[in-house]
Amino acid sequence: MSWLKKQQLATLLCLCLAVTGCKGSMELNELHIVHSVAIDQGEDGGVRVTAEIAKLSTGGQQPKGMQESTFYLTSEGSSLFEAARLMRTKSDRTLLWGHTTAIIFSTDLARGGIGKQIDDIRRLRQFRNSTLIYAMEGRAYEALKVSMPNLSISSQALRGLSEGGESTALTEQTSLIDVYQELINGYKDISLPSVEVVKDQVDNKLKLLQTKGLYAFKGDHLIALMHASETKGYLRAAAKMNGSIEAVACDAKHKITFENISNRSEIEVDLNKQQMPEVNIEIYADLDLVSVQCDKVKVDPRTIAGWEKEINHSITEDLERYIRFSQKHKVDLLGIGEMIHRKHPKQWRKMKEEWGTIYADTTFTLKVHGRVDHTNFTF
Amino acid sequence: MDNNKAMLTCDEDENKRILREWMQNTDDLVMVSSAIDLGQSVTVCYLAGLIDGRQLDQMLLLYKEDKDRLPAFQVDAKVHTFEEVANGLASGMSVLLFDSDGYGITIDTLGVQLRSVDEPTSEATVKGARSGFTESLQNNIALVRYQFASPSLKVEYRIAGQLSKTKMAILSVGGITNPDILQEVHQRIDEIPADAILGSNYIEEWITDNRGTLFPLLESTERPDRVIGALLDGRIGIIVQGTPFVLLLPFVFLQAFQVSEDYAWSYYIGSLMRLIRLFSGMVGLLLPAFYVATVTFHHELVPTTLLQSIASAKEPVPFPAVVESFMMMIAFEIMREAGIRMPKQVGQAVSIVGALILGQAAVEAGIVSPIMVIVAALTGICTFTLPPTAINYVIRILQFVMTLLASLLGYVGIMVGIIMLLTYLASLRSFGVPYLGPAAPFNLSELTDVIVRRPHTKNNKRPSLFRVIHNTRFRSKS
Amino acid sequence: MDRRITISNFQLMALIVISTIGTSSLYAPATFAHYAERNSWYLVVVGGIMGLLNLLVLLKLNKFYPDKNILAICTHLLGPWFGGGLAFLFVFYFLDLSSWILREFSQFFIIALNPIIPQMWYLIAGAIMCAYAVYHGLEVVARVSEIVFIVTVTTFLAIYVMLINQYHPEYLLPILEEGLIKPLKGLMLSMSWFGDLMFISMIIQYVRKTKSTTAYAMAGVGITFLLLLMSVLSCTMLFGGEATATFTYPSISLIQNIRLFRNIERFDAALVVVWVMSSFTKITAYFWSAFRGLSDLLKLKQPKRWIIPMAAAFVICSRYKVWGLVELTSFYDHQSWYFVLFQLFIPTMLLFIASIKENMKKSR
Repeated sequence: MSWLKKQQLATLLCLCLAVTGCKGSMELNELHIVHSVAIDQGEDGGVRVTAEIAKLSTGGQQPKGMQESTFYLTSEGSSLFEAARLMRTKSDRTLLWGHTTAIIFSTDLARGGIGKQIDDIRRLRQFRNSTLIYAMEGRAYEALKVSMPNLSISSQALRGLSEGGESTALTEQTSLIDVYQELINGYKDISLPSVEVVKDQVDNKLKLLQTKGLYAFKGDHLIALMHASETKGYLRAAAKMNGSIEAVACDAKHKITFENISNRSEIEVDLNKQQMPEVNIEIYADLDLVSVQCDKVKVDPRTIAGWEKEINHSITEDLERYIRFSQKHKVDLLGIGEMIHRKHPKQWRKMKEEWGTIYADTTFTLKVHGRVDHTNFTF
Repeated sequence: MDNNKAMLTCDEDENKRILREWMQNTDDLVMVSSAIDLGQSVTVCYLAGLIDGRQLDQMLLLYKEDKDRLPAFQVDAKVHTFEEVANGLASGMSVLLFDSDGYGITIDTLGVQLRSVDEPTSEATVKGARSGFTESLQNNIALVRYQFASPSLKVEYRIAGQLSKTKMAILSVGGITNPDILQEVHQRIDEIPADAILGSNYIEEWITDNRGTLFPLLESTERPDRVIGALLDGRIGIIVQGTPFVLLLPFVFLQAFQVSEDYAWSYYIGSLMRLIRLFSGMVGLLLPAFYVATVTFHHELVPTTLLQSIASAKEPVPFPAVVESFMMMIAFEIMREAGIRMPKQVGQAVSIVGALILGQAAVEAGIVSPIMVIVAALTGICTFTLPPTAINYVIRILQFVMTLLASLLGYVGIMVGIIMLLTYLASLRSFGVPYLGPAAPFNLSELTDVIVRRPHTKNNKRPSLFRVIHNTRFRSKS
Repeated sequence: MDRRITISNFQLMALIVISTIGTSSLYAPATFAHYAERNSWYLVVVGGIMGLLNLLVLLKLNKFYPDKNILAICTHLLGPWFGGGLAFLFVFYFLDLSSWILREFSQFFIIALNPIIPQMWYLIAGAIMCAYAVYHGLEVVARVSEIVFIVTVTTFLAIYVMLINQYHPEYLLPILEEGLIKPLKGLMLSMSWFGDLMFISMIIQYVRKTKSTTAYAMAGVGITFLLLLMSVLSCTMLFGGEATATFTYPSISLIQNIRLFRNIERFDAALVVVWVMSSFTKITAYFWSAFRGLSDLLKLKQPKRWIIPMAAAFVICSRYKVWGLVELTSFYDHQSWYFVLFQLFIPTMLLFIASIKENMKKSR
């Protein structure tokens, strides 16, 4: 008897649960998947958010994956959260932010500080840790409207471009969690990769996205753009690069090009007698000869030694350019301050307050050990 | 009946009359009087069709030659009451009634046409023995004895069922099987009040520890080798007359994922097959729930590209994912049931209609999304990997519950379901053995022969789970 | 019950580990980082030592009275009136703690998974789950906890291993720049987490005791310590001390950092359910203790009837206990002495009295 009662109770419970419905669930038909977001300065100090959303083609047995076309929604609000919510008034479905691949900040906004926006984004909770962050000169939403060949969704393009940094050393993959934790920890200053819209060199009508250079930040304020060689120097010193191109002139017009295969950097920090920091950077780079534009070049150990010297020189120049840039703007992208903190915690306590000026006067010693090889042919 | 203890009389006609009354005046009762010796005539009674006539003739001739030579007769079966005679007749004996003496002799002349030994249909194997049990009790015992020719194998007959008088044999191994469990089995069988036992499941339901449970607490198998393996692990077998399914007990949950073929292959292959079965059991239980929870609650988990595909496929479907999955799962169950019941001649039609309508047209009509078809198909196939006699029906039922929970609370709902299921399983016992053993209570060395398969050379211990008396199989020399 | 309940040493260990690690692994990294930034591992070490001490006190108490639980010890030592009052306080503590954990459980899922599902649902689901387990008794709970133990420990290790190439060991430097004393501000909290094992004072009398029982119990604390240390270390090494302190659940952010094959990520939703298991074990352990204590003290005839009302009371209590997460965490921060009082101080006091009493008996 009690057995029967128990069964009835369980059935009743199940029915109750089922009847009360599925609160909190979101069917896919009720969602728009946001792929990338652009954040611009709005009027009256607010923010203006543009979202790129994929159109879904209905019917058909073959799903199209990421080949669908997209549309855009824009809204403004006093905060990012408000703008995002207001966007719902223009959209027929709830927006799903969890799949956002890239967020682009406009430089105007970034100059005033991105800390609050990043904080808001983290509070929204839906975003992925690996969401890529970019900065763009001018209006950020324009980048979303560029349709790359083969990919109509620009988030995928942005993601592909960020991975290109591994072979060009002109950009870097910077994710939301990186930016957030550096802003909070303050171990080093952050940098965001820049993205710009350029015209194709052959087909003038075709617009393309290009990632080249990094924006350096002091705290959460954007300071300046690092150009190609500075970026390269920075990435090399931070040991964040794998591949890049280095060139050496062999005569007036022509150049010999090398491919960087691997790169290692060792940064040593110490305090001298005046309690001033001294920084030693040693770079170990392996390069491979890929292109010889001039005639009559003989590859033998002696010429290679010559090239190595020149390459060392040009790498040192990149690094110096970066150091000059960082000292001028007082941005400590390498985290030299934190290194002192780790090594000499007591002295750091005194230096912490005026670290900016101390950094500007820090002496850097650079040593580059480039190794060139020629692996395609022996002769 | 008022005269239960009615004794046989010495009067032939009187005997015949009363016996006929006892047998409800049935028409197939044959009673022939014949003279065996001078002055002594005997009445041979039997039920026509139930006995082998030639055997009876032989017996009678033998009896005529030598009255004391009675190996083929059931000598001890001298019957004195009408009830005994009637029961004997009903179970296929022939009875000789002597008009001078007040007793009869029963002769076992049962001759029914039964199926011959065949390949077990529910537990087919690629490698390994191919003989399966039949409906004949004697034959089934012989099949076990044939492969397990040891004097320590003990067979005990029992009869259950007030009317059906079903014979059954309890198999155990002296020196291995725990006598307490055996005693418990005897006691439970003796207490069965049922009027008829028409198969092993009747027994199972009467003697199981927990009658309300969905899970089988006894295992049933068609394969002699599996029975012998179980006996050697210290388990007990019950063979029931009239069914090819032999009950094995105690039974623990993880054994549902074992098949005897595991031991026919090398232990790497055997282990892999077992792991695949475990995995597909889990997939069968959880995949629809996981799908529903993912597409309604946890969209982030799906890679963006895949989510885009799922979303565009789901676009024309008006139903929520949970309704969709219930439709597909129910459709699948219907097709499976139809597949078992339908005559072989219409099989093709049904499969074409099923595949075409449910696989393609439903998708094109926007009733279900193609991903759901994949999920339902995979789930269905996964449950087929398990031996059909045990867990897979349970899994099919539970997958509905899981899907419902998933649609309410997402992954948390699934987990709540799993935990309650685990709690329930942990609370079950099969003849005193914890149902989740050896995973809980945890025993690593025994898990190695349950989740994977141990090599025969390393398998020198019997599972202590079944409380065996003597747990060493052999002593390894090295 | 006709049959005597027994649980094995391994089950004891599993119960200790799961119920201690269950919620602490969620809150500990952030809270410790709040007190000690990059030196939060130090708090774990000290807390672990205190936890071991706590365990030894309970074990010692059990050695004096092997077949009494802590409530019986109370009444035995302090007389029926005062001791009975203390025993009631203990029961109240168990009840209170169960509802705290239930609230933590629901709060966690709302924040980590889905803020749209109403809290009541999670509370009810948790209460049903645990009431069901308590209904089946301690042996079943112990058996389930074994499976939970294996699954949880494996998952934890898998999480930490999968992140191995993202660690920055230098984030731990400089070691203890503030000295040994200053980070100890958070010690009370750390102790209260390790002290969660105090429910064993209710169940230890059922353990089938062997020589290695103490070793198993110690191993339980050891495993807890290692897992907690790993979670704290990996959070610090991945996010840095300061950033860790700002997360609500750093362990969840850790999981979000796991990424496979370029675009499979956000495992948090799937792995979070492991915490359903561990919270389940923890709530059930305390629920069972409360239930057992209540039925012993009031000498209830049909104790199982009380499970459903108790579960309902838990749900209501947890719902209106605090308003939200901020209040919840601030209670843990400031009122952790409340937990430690029952976990360590009162048992120590009992041990003290017990040893005096036994000595007096001997000398007589």
